[in-house]
Parts: sequence; C-alpha cells; structure tokens
Amino acid sequence: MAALYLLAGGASQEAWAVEIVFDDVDALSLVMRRDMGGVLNFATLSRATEFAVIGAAYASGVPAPRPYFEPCEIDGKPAFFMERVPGEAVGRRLVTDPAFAEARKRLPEQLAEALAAIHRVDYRAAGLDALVERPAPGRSAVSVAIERTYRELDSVNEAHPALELALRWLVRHEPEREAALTLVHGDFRIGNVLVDEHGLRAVLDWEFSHIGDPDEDVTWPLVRAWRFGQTALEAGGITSRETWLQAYEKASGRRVDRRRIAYLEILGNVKWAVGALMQARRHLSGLEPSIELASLGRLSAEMEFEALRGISAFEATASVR
Amino acid sequence: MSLHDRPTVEELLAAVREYLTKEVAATEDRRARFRALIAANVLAVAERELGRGGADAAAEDAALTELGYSAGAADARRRELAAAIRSGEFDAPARFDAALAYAREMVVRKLAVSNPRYDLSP
Repeated sequence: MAALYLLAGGASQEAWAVEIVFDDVDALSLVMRRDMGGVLNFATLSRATEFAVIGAAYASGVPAPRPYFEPCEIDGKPAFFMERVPGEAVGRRLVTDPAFAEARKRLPEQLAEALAAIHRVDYRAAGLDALVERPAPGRSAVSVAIERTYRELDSVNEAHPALELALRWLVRHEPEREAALTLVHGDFRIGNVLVDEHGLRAVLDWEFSHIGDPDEDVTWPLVRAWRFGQTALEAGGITSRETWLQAYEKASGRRVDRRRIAYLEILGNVKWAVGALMQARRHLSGLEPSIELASLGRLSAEMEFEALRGISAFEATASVR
Repeated sequence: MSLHDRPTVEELLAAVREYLTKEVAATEDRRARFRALIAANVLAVAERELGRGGADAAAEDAALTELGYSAGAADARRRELAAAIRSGEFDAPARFDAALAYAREMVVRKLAVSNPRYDLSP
C-alpha cells in the first residue's frame, strides 16, 4: 500500500489518495479518511460510524463512494477506506467554471434524486438508528438541533446577541408538524459532492449524518454561504429555489412546505454561524493553527445577517396573510 | 505623526498584504495560493478595523444604553443582553423589535469590517 498525496485537509479530517497493489498487477485506487484530532460540532460521527452510514447508503443505491475493508487505525488515528471517485468538489469552481456548464444543467435533478435516495435508505434495517443520533420519542428534530446549537454557542463563550435573538425566535416559532424521520446526510451541498463534466459522481462528507427531518437536507443548499458567490441562484449557486424544491418533490414524491423551508433556512444560517465561530476556536485554542480557520471567525457576521434578514422576511409574509 | 518611523502601521500592513497577493499567491500550488489569498483578506479586515477607530465602540455603547444596559464594560453588557434575550426578556413584540434593530445595526458594522461588499439589501 502506498499513500500518494493529500487530497483534502478538511477541518475535522484529512483525506489521502492511496493505491493498493496486489501481485504487481491489480491495483485499487482508494481514499483514506482519517481523523484530525478534533470535532467540528457536537454531532460529528466517529469514522467507524461514518463508514457504516456510507455502506448503507451505497448498498441502497445512493451515489456514494464504495467503502472498502473495515474501519481501522492508521498511525494511531481512526480511519477507513473507500473508493476514489474522480471529480471536482471545490464549490467556487463548480458554480462558475465553464467546464462544468453542462454538469450544472443536470445537477439539480441529479442532486434531488441522490437526496431522495438518501432519505429512502431503510436506516432501521441497516442498523443505523442504533449508531447515529436521533430525536428522543416526543422530541422534534428541530428542537434537538436548536438545543445542540445553544450548547455549541455556549462552548464558544462569546456573547452574540444576534444569534441569541435568532435562536429565541426559532424556539418560539417552531413549526407544528415535521416530515417523517429519515436518514439525514447533515451536510448536503455543493462542496461536499464530487462532480465531473457530466454531473454528479458521488456524495461525500457523511460525518454529520443522523436520523432526523429530511427537510433539513432539502434546505441546507439554500443557505447563502453554499452559493459560493452566485447569490442570485439560491439553490447551491446553480439553480433557483423553486427549481430545486420541485426537483426534490418530483424525486421523493413528497410535497415540501415552503414556509417550513424558510424557517429551516434561518436555523441553517444560525447553525453555520455558530459552526464558523467553533472553527475559529480550533485555531484560537492552538489545537489546529490555521489561517483558514482563523478567518471563519469573521465570516460568522454574514450568517448572522442572513438569519436576521430571514426573520424579517418570514414575519413580513406572515402579516400579509 | 507617531513616534515610530515610517512606514506607519497602516503602511506596514498594506505592504504585507501586497506581498501576499502579488508574490506569495503567484504560485502554481493551488492550496498555497488559496491560503495566501485568505491571509491577504484577513489583513485587509484588520486594516479596515484599525481604520474605523472608536466609532464602532461608541455606537455599540449608545445602542446598549438605549436598550437599558448602561453600566460596565461593553463586553459585560453584551453578555447581559445575550442572557436576557435567551431567558425571554425580549419576547414582547416591541422589545423584540428593539433588540432586532440593535442586532442588525451591530451586524452591519461587523460586515463593514469583515466584508464591505456584502449585499445588505433586505
């Protein structure tokens, strides 16, 4: 086995391209995912659990990398192996590079089909409900997410009145009904998928998977930060909000409540605002000195602004009715 | 003029930023180039924050006083406000709107430093 090069030094993990050669003839091109020593938020899966989730998704026909072998330790750090799928993941390139123009036309439908397939995974049969977090009986997925976000904000130990206000508003406006629980990817967006010139190749980055509200995944690509500068194309910087929602509705056969999506988009902005503060803390604490992580502390104001803007827009449309 | 010689602190920061964008970022290494541009952006943020002097602190002081938090250091008052919002003291519509106006003004001030090109339209 030979480690070839570092594919991505993610903030919570790293990914290595590795080549495994058998009998000097056959070779397997794989990716090794390995822990970096810290966690991004309080819901991060272990590598062994992430491996199980990817395996269940792959077996159900989701375009996910095929997992190989069993979870293990490499140099004392938890790791696992999966198929190395060719393609581009860098968000800004995917939303602007002319080489992906054709892919961008196909992606809304392909992403919607992949997401609907994730939400159809029989998580009980795959044993995932015993491995990943799920709302306790009687608790809503939204209330679990809000509570976790409060805990994460407290761990940063900074006063953020804008985030407090948005969280309080979310608590007081929690939707009465939720979609039936499914496997939720937890970070489904451009930047976490591999794309080639023909479109989607694989869904990556499963470390935030859980059992929850599928609309969380439907909403996440609408959060402004994941438009990679193409802000007018509200769904992932590649298509309109309605095109995306209708593509998902068609793929899943489930109607999506636009009002709940607007609510979840506010929650999504608050979650990523707190996430960015936590990433900056990884730098500030000395755990992982990094100019990229440091810069995220000042990015948080953008998500704060979006959350406040979302609240005003939500209330404006409520008063019109 | 400062006691210290030219370049001034602003000129030093600008010199480092230009070195990052024009020399360090001129590499074929994608990751190194990406990090150099992030570093240059971080320096630009610091330059803008220095350039605003005490205007942001004065505005926050006035806004916190307006909301009823007049005593103590700004950070302690900001924490008091955050705790009060969480405990429901700003739930009444008029109070909520007042806190929302405060929060929006402070976020807009932060954005003027962190990303002045940010689209602030409603």
